[in-house]
Amino acid sequence: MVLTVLIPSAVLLTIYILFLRKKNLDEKMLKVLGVIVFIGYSLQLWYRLPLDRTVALRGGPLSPFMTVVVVIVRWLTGALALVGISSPFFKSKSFKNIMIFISPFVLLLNLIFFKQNNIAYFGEQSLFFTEARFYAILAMLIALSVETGILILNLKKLPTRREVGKMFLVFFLLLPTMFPQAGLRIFFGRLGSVTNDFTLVHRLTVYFSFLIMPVIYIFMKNESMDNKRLLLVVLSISSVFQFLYVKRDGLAGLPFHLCNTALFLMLISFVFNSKSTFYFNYFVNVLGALCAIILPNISEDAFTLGSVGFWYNHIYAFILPILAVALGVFPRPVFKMMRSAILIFTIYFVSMMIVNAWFNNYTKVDYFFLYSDFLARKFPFAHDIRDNNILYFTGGDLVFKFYWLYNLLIYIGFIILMFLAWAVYDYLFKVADAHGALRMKLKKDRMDILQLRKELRGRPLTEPLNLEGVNMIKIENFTKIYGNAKKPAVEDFSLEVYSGEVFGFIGHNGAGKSTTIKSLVGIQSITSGRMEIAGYDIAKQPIEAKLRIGYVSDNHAVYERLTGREYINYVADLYLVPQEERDERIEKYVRMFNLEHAIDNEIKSYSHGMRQKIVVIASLIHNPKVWILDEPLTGLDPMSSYQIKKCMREHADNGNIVFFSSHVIEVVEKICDRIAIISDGKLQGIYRLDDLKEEGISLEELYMRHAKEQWA
Amino acid sequence: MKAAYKRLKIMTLLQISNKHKLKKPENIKALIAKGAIRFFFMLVIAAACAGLLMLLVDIIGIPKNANLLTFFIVILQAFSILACTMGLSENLYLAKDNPILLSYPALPNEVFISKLLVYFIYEFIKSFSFILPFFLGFGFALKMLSPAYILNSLLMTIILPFFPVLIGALVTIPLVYLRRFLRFHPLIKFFLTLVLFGGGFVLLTRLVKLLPDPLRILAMYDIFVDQMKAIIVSVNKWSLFYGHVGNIFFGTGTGLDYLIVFGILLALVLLIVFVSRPLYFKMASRTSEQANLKAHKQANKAHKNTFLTFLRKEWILTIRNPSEFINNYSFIFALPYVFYLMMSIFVRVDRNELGDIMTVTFSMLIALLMATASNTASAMAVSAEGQEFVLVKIAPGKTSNMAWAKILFNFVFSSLMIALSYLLFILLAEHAIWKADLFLMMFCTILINSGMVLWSFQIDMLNPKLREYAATGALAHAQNYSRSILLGFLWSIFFTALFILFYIDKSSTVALRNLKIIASAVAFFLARIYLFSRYLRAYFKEIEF
Repeated sequence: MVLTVLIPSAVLLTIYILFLRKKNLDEKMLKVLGVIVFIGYSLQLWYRLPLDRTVALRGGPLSPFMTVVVVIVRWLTGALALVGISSPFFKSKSFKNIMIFISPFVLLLNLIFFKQNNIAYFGEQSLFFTEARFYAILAMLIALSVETGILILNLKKLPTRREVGKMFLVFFLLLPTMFPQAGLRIFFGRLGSVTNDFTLVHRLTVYFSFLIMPVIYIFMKNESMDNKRLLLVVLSISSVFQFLYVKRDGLAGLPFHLCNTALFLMLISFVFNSKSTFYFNYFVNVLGALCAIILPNISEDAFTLGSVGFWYNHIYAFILPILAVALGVFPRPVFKMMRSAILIFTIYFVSMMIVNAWFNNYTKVDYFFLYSDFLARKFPFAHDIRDNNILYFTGGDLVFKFYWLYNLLIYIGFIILMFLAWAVYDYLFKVADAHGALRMKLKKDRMDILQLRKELRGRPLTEPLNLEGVNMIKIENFTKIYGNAKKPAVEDFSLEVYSGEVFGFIGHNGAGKSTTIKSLVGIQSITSGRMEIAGYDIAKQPIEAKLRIGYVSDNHAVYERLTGREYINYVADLYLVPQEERDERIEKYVRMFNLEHAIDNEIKSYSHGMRQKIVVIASLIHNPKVWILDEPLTGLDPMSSYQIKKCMREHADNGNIVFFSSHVIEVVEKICDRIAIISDGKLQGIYRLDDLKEEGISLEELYMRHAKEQWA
Repeated sequence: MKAAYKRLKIMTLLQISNKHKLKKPENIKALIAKGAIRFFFMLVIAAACAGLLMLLVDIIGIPKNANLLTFFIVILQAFSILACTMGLSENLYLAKDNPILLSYPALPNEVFISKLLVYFIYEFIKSFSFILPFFLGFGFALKMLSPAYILNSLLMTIILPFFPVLIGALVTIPLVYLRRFLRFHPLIKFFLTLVLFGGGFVLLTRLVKLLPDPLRILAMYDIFVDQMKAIIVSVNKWSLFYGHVGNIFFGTGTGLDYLIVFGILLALVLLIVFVSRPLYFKMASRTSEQANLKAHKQANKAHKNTFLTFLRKEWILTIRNPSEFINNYSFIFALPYVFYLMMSIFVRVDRNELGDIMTVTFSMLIALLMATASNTASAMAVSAEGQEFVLVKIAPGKTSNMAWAKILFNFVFSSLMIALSYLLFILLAEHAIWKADLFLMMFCTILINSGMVLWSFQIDMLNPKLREYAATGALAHAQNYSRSILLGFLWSIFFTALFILFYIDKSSTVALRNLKIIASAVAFFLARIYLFSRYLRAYFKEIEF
């Protein structure tokens, strides 16, 4: 009967391939064939007896050599089926190439060893046609052949050598996912070890479960999203096949155990992009699988079907959801996803309580370990709770038994574990982000140095980038935006200050003076634009630029527990000032600022003015080319103020640059050669004070004029 | 009066908002959700207290009477009084906000009351969140829950927080005077500290000598229970008026008990009004006056190595601020004591092989927990630079050396203390403790702690609180510090569990096991060094003030 369906179908397909093919139809046909391969392969697995019960290397129906050949043919066919199922739904070149170039050989092997393969399945040739699974195998092979045929006929260009290499690599990597579970037993017999109790085999398996994730991640992270999805679909299909590989009889064989259910849900999640089922797996099942991996409840030899199936099942359930998020196929979860995961888990949990209570009327089942005392044995206090809190319901001949409190405790425990898992995931995401950002940052730093070398055109890194700017401060189109602020603190600011000048920088509170100065001395970053100190770019050559700067901050940043002398020496050390020069300068400035009596006292005991003087001395200790002062005269007594102004003039007269900000217009007017007015982050103008004097405009008038224009 | 009340309200809210972000709930839903969560936690605490009490009463056999409740109240209040005294001695007289608050158009008395109010509000929240559930759990466990009991619980939730605040405010006066006296007499301070440490050790050795040898815990069960009962009775004898609070709950002699409790409260208020309040302004304003410090005469000296420059600076700052140093390393200072006590108990216990494993690995756990909790200096290394960090930013050269200088200091000191504690442990291990294993644990503790020192610094480097520190001189929300302690805790647990696994795994030889233990500690340390140096290279220069 089945043959009467299969043979005409094959004939019709052949006619289609040879005469009726159209491109759009081809794509649809390939998808249909992919589905047929999936159903055929699944049925073949579902209906057959396990391979290792019918075939063994010695004593089976085939010779040892033929047994090995049959196992290899099935292994290759399984991997090909995986490609045949997923290839029509994705645009992977490697998968298409496998179907075109590897598939014919595998199909040929199936043809050559058709008889031996089926003897391995059914024992005798006479039984072939009486078994439904035979037709499932046949349908799958026909569908694979047609798929291969269509793709070969559509081939327009031969693959490059690189593509061929990739094709073999991909096929080689797919092989372990479809390894026939009986193969280990057939090839090697018994291992003689049970994979539990942290034995070496168990530990190796645990290590493997954890190590395989980063390996796949590293291998796949730069692939396209389509390829990442393809990988997950392929792995989830293979996980379902590996589950079906072990024939389970009766109600207990239904895939209602958490990790078994999860394999099917995972396939649905990846194929249909279903978020709710995916995050159920992500929060609930990964935990369940991890528990199973660490504390496996198997007592069979490691190479038996039960054992190998167990590991395939749980390793897939453990790694796939994590990989899906790590590779970005599914987004990192928000709390909403957790909520829906809890909801689905609750539905699953209640369903399993009911199903357990119902099915146990017929046979022994224990889905999610809710019915037996498996978990209670591990936690002795739970035994009494389980046995003393039972609800009975009857319906006809059936008795429904609910260990309500015991189950409730398991439910609460699992929910707590889910939240813990959330915390762990969250932490791991943060770690991953931090490391990603670190890598990018270091890469950017390396690129910046390369760029600097390029800009210096072979000159040493210690030479100024702008040879024409060695005698000036140059600011070009400087813009600074703080954090996520929308409005820039300073915008498109350009300025040049030359040797021998005392340059005043005036503006209202919050105008952007301190921001400009802080970026100029390297305290703050530059959002865009360029700042140069004596030809050195402060962003690209910070050390060289800073060596030429003396800076007096607006907040008297000093270590209060140090003495004045210790503080100045500390700064001198940072600026690499030689002993003789520092002795000479400390003596000179200490005398100039009348600090002889206090220089060896802790700065904690200094007055405001004394602190300012100490900061000024420290900023001049290396005789900087550029002296930058931020509000240096605020709060100073007339004598101190006079001394600092005198010092500024002298420093400029020695061929250096003095750049300072101030609110006090009279002071600026008195000691500056040129000034710049900044308002609301924008440069309003640069003026030479001699010119203003000639024009009879006072600085105060000018400033007020700008202020009015700005606020108008 | 109305104006005074308004001023009090403003100043109180100002002080609270300086420490906690005050915001109105966005909507009624959020308010209900918050309320529900708080209620849930209260229920959990009540259930936990009830469970604990049932265990004490039913299993251990402690009699359920007013003495038991008084015992718990005394213990809880003692902790609160201690916390309030420590906090108030800083907050009332030495706080940075004193000059600001005192300059406001408000009377010093109002500033004083507002400060007490802030503490009372904190104590009340604590009382409402923990003491009330405790009372309810207690009533449930002892089957005493009645409307009268619940009403009394609510009343005491409001009344009890007054006592620690008022007592604390009184005790701080002599304490601050003593502190000032010691500040100007460092020699006496030094000797007092020495006496305190020495006295502690002598007391500890005396206590330890009282322990029976061999120590059989199970055989001592009855003695333990009797001792517990005796302690409860003796605490009650010295419980002052708290005994009356216990009586109120148990409904014995209620009228008089209420009178005494309220009478004492009134007496405390009067003492505050007539003793503490008048002294407040005098004491608080004195601390903002400039201190006259003595000179440290030195010659100018050049150092060519920035690392040494930074190290020297750290050294000077540390020796000139010993109280901060002691604060930072208080746990590690306590480590030898804890080890001595632990060792003395362990060596007396009859142990099997698992007991020996526990002794060895738990020595590491305790050492690690205490050492990692002492990583304050690293977890605040960058933040605590405050505005002085500007100097590092403008300095030409490899300023990231500052990090290594700060870390080296922490490394050396904590490693020395760990080694000292272990040597003490090993020296006292005259019984059959595995000395070689203790050496191994010492080595691992030093390595893991050193890794955590780097990690703590990294936490602060990635999230520095320079501005906050510069503004207040302290970190109100020391997130970095808390994160560092949490990480230290988790990794201590992890390594202890791992080493226990290595010890109980009989498939390895002793040499292989030891190799695994050393390898994990070394791997952790090397991984931290590698990651830290990468983070330092990438992010230190990015820190902005």
